[in-house]
Amino acid sequence: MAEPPRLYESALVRQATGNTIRPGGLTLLQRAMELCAMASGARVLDVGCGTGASTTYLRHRYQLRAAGVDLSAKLLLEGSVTVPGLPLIRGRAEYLPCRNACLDGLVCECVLSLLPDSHATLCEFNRVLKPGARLIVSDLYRRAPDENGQAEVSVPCCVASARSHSFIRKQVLSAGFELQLWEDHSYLLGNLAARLILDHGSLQAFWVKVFGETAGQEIAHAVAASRPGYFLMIAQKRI
Amino acid sequence: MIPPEEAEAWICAKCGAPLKILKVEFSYMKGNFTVDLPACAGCGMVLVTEDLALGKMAEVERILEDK
Repeated sequence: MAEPPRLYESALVRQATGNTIRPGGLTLLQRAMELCAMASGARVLDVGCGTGASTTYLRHRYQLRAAGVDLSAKLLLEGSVTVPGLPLIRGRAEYLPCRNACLDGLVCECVLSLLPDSHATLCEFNRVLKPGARLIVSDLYRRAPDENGQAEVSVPCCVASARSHSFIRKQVLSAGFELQLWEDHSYLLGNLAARLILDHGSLQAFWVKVFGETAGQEIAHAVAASRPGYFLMIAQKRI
Repeated sequence: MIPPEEAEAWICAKCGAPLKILKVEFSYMKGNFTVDLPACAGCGMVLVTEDLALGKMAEVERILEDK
């Protein structure tokens, strides 16, 4: 049986988001880096790096020793062709190929909402970070009030499965981090949604093009019910 | 999406030239967008049809205003 399409590998998503494959491009990473002021040479892992757009940015703009890890062989191959020699590794966010407490920072953009066990993943992030090191997360979150009413969808889709601010906050604290910053940047998601509507006629039409008639309709309803927003979070591993 | 032949059936009242499908940039709230619309190549006048205004432009407005 064929695997369901992955939203982040979809040509239609790439058309609207470019190489970063997320709302806002590098906007929130730039904002986070201004706030964190990491020293050049700091060792940072970009988890869910895709084509390595953020990894490249961190290396060139801030002279960090940044590497990327992603599950998608397709996106990693594209990244290694675009920037030969970029350190990109195939792997899962839940099992990072790193020693304990070896990283000065970890960046995770638009990934947590897609994972089946985000708490286990946050614990893995905690394991590989040095005490006091920063975790930078940007992602979707659910703004509709009733999390229990979350619609079940038959294909994996980060927009439909996003969790609430309070749910994410609890998981981050429970995984051994102090929360330093939570900012709402939902306008970036709104801008992307608007672009998709202009390109495809409606959001519903976009979902149907990506996932087919049945799953596309299902996701369109789940997304509308969850009222997704977009956030930037900075957390610090407890010392 | 309006087909080119339908766009050309409209004549710009100011320039007298038929409209063409052009890439039109617009800004709304914090977003900048490019969309293909019938427009006058001479003066830049853009035609927003009723279908467009009540269809996807209304959905875009609702999304950007976060309603």
